[in-house]
Amino acid sequence: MSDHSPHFLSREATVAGPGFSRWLVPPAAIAVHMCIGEVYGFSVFNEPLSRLLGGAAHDPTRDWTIPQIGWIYSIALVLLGLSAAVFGKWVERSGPRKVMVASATCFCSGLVLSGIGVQQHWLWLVYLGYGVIGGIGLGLGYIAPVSTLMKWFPDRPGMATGMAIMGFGGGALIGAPLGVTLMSFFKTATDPGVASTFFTMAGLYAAWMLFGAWLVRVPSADWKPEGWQPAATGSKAGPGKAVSVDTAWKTPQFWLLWIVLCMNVSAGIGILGQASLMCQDLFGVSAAVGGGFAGLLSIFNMGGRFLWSSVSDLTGRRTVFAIYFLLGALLYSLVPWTQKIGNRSLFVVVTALIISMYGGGFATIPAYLRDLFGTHQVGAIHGRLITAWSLAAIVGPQLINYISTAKKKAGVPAAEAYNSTLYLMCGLLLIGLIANLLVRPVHPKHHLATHS
Amino acid sequence: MQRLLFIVTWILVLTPLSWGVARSIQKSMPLFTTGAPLKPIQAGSTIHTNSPTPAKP
Repeated sequence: MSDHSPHFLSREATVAGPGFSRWLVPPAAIAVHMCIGEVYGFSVFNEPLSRLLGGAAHDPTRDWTIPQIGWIYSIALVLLGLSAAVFGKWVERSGPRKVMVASATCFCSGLVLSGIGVQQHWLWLVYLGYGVIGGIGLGLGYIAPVSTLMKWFPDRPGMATGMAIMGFGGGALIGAPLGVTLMSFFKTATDPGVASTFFTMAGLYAAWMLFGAWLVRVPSADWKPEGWQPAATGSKAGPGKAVSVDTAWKTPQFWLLWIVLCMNVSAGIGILGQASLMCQDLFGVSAAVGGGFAGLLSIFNMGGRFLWSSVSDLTGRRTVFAIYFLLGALLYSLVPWTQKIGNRSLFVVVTALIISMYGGGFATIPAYLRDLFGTHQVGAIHGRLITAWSLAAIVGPQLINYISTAKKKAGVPAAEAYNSTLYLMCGLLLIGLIANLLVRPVHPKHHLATHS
Repeated sequence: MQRLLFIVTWILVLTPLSWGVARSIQKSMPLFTTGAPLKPIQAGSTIHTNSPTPAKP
């Protein structure tokens, strides 16, 4: 990607003038994140995409199968991690506005290509559009505002990144019902309306993301919040001394945090991906009640991102992750018991808390990186760490599906088929806890001399 | 001007988020309004319905 871009997109053009309110930057970040968070709600398109030719009857010889459609989401998530890792340094160098515009271009053109793919019934084009090109847009948009927000809020970095990443969680809450509403609007007797929905979403999301790109600013080099005195660099409350991305990812601290994120995500997805089915199996409720349970968890997933990351500003990142893992493991071990005593309300409370901490992990990890590696290239380092999420998002649900299905096939009652999975989740959280406890400050030999 | 921009931008991002949250709360209502068996499911039970109709209270 060339740096010979129009001035408006350059980093220099985004430096805020005197009197600019830093509270205008979070809406810019949320605008981008709540658009790309649509990927979490992609499952609403699964069934309509599987009936494009056969209609309600479904033609098994010509229509796409659900596993084939499932790959669209998986490719997008893999590309999210890969693009965040590959383009992280470019993101730091180019500034947030150019990256947000690139993200909007990729994500929205991916939607348009997918719409064409749906119209022509070319699955490869949907893979390329939504999966590859859209996935690159996801990765760029996810990391674009992170380091900018931490520079604007050095006094509350956890809360700042929590706001943006809360937007990503909220994206699913908007994307899924928006997709359903648009499909019902465009639906005809022969067309489920998916292509038109993709085109419309591309337009709406482009407008919101470009609004975010227009609004975003970076602080000038000497800016600091009024009345705020920076803590000593490397102290518990202050940022770590600057470490370059190429050095950071060779340190044990990076890989310990990689394990921390991977375990937290794997365990959370264990509940989130199976929420509706699990509620039905454990308590014998209808699909409507199971769906309601999944909807409730989405709200806690979003709210936890803001609340827990804000708490981390008070407690420190290591402590808050220790809470996620210890409390999470305890709560997971309680889930089979809530089923045994038939207490549905307690089950809802326990799982909602688990999901709030799952979301909290996503939102707290950028500030944890900033504590260890400084703000110098924290966006790029965060980009490389996101590969842990990609892996967990693909492997985690497969593992859960495999174990619970194998248990059911072996004759284990549906209500008990999840027990071993839930105990496995406890184990994953304990691995995460050990990794978190092993995190120590980065050795001074890794610090950049010019940013000491 | 700065204050107006502040109000407009926050309204622009909070409105869709609030709509999404409201839709989710609406979707989760059956969880609180529909009854369900409060006794544990018996061994061997394969209760699992994909019917959109709520369970009997």
